Amino acid sequence: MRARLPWQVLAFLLPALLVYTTFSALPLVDTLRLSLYSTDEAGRQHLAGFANFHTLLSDPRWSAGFWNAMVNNLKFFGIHMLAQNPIGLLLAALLSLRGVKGAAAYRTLIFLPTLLSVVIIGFIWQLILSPLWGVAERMLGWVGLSSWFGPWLGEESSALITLSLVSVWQFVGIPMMLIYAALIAIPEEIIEAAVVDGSSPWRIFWRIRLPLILPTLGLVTILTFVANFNAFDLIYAVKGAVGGPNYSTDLLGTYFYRTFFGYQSQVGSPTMGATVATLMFLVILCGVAVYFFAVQRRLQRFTF
Amino acid sequence: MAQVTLDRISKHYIPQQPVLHDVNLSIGDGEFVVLVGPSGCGKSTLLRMLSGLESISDGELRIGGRRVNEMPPADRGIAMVFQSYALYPHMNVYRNMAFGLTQRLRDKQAIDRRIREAARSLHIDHLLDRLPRDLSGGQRQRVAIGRAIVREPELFLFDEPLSNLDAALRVHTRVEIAKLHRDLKATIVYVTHDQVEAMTLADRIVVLHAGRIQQTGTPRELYDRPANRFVATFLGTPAMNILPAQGFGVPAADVVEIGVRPEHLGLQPGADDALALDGTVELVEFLGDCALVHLRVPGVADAVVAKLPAGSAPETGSALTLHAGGACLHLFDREGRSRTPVRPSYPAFR
Amino acid sequence: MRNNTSPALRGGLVHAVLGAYTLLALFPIGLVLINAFKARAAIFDDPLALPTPGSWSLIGFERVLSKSAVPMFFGNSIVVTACSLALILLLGAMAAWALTEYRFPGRRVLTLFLAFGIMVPIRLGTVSILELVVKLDLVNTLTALVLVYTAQGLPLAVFILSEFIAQIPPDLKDAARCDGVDEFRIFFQVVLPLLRPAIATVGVFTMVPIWNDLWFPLILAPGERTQTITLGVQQFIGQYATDWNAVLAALALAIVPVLLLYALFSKQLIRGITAGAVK
Repeated sequence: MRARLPWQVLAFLLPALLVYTTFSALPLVDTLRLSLYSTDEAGRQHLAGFANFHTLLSDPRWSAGFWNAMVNNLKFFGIHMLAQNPIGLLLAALLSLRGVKGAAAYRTLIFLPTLLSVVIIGFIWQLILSPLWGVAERMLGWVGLSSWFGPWLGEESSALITLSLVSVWQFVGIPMMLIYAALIAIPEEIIEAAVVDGSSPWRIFWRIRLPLILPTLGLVTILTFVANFNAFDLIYAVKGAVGGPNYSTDLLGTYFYRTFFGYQSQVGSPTMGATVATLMFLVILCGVAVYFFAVQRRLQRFTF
Repeated sequence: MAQVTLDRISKHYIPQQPVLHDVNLSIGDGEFVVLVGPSGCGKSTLLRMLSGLESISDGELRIGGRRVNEMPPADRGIAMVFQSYALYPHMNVYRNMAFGLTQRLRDKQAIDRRIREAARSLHIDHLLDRLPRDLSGGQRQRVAIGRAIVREPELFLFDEPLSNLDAALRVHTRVEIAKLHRDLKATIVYVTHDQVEAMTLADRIVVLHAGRIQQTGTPRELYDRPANRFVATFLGTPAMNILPAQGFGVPAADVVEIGVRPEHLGLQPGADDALALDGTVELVEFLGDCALVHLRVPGVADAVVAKLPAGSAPETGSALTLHAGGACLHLFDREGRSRTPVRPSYPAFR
Repeated sequence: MRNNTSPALRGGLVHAVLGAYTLLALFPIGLVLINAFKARAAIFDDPLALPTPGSWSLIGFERVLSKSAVPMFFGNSIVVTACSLALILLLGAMAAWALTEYRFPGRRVLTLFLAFGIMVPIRLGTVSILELVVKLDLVNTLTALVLVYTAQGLPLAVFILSEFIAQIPPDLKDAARCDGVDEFRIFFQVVLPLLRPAIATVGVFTMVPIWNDLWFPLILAPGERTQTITLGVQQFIGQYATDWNAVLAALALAIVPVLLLYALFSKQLIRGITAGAVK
């Protein structure tokens, strides 16, 4: 580390800072600013303070949709936490065992869906689950559950859960990889010491491996949180911007899109869109703040 | 404490390429046995086979009279101290030491008693609440030893425990381990590549090279009567000087090389003078109480090193003749085996 | 405690679980690929069967290629992804270098400023980004996408590259300085070549989200000439949803390049991820 002529440092920093500030940081700040304005019929913007927020959160014309999207998003996140992370943990734990032949192949193959576009995945599953084609129905028949099949994507009660599970199916590779990397970073000698101490593999997993990968589990949680509250592509591809049927799959991302751009009879409003974005920002900020607080306090990373 | 018997033990990962050949060893109750050798000689593998972390390809292993080849580590009655200490990073010292015990003993008080006793004897009783990352290297090593002690095992296994410590700490911890052996009367198998550790700690040393035992015996036996060239040059610092037999007038038929230790070379010929080396002094290393004199002798590949009293150290570049008595010479044949006749009189260290 | 389950049983169970999930992960993709090459009747009669000489048909592909400019979409995606990656790597390395190597007032603030972008999604600022792009007259240009994706990828890239730079032995840089080499040459000729392993890690974390993104192409560059493959496929399928041959063919066309690249580079990719994950 040395102190050097400032101008060289500037030359190195400026291009990146310029692009980042112009296209990422400033627009975010500007969006926060816009949320404090409102547009009248002529398209003019004037300062309105927190009026937009008030409208969005309590005016029934807006708030019903907003809160619906918020609740759906929470359910979306909940299903990911219940399904994606435990499955990822299980797969990572199995892959990290010593002497599993073909572990590398399993890893590579299971990760494949993560690389594909959400759009493509959405369409594929839409086809599979389509009653017309009958693939899902037939496959359920193999395990004797064909009566269980229904047009899940088309029904209000099941569409969100189905799409959540599709998303879980696609993205399980990421927690799997991150947790796997953390598991193999645990020095072998520590596990051997536990073996010599007489611990069963189960005990070793719960008392030694799991506590040591808690920081990674925390990271996976916050990444899932941010990604889920930012989700849009899957819903848009499968259900369009309206998040049907009957808004049951409407997430904050799609709500934002509609508010901003307008949809069918609803006129788009940049200022209301900015308000939605600001609220999304606050939600995400809360989650990130909780994460950092927890990391600072409790989830300590152990260096070996 | 137990007796340990290794009966024709061998190990291979790839068939036809054994890493350990036909190891036979008997360890008595309360004995401190050191497995020593250069890296890759198989000593760590042998230790891990004793512990059960590696499988035994051939032969039988008995601990306390029972065959334990197929037994998992937990049932063999052993405790192991690892080179990198292998402490559980997320548990404090107390819980590190308690972890193995809580599975076997239900009595919390008994566990607590054992831990505090061991901690006291190792002077770590004030550290019981700390996490491993808040401890120094030496403290961590003592916790690792403490974790082994509380198990009250039949056999202690140490895998190069001092390698990660700095020089001063190494000496200190070495003394602690020796005291441990004395106090607990424990049966210990200890692996190291450092021959000083081997010489100072062992009741018996096992020298390993390329997967085979070269020699087993007390430090004295191995030092004074090495069975082959490898053991002769492995033990002792500076290493024994090896000279080609011809040109230095030693009779005996199949002797190809002569060995003589640095401390047995002197400036004055003795009554039994059998070797005279004429050469030029290449380098003099002053060590305080003595000096190591490197002599360049024609016909000998490496410089001959002699340990002389500090006062009589010669000048660099001067001509010098070193003498050694016949009783101090070690003779080796073409395969490196010792051909040295057994001698009643053996000169003491100067 | 002794283990009562035999190792063989445990091993079998492990493989059963891993194998089952692998099948679950792969069958949808396989299904699409198989059926893209079948005639419409065969698709519905027996979806799970492989295409036979009797049912083989490329009609779906013909329709897709005639009705939409798939090659152009691919070209757009490639240009956007490659240019963004290049910019991210170059600008990111320079910024990471400036932030780790030199101590200057405001260094911490700037690092935090950039780190903010890792967690906070760039999409939230879309309202203003669109305004900006309109103002700069860059609507429906690939340039707009490149700029936005560069801004999106820079924070994480700077973070990852900083970790890699911190591992370069200081002696290398000091030796060059003693030789009187100026800072720019040190960066471009000493530091940059040493960052090659980082390219895999940064590449994985930035390329995949850019290639697969639907949002910004939809909002900033939905014009016919500038559609990326993701947007193109989405629009096409939205339009021809009942034409199963075409839909399956479009999906297959979108999948195959990714499959090929993955088959070629999976080892580097996974190594890149696990290296980055530890950091």
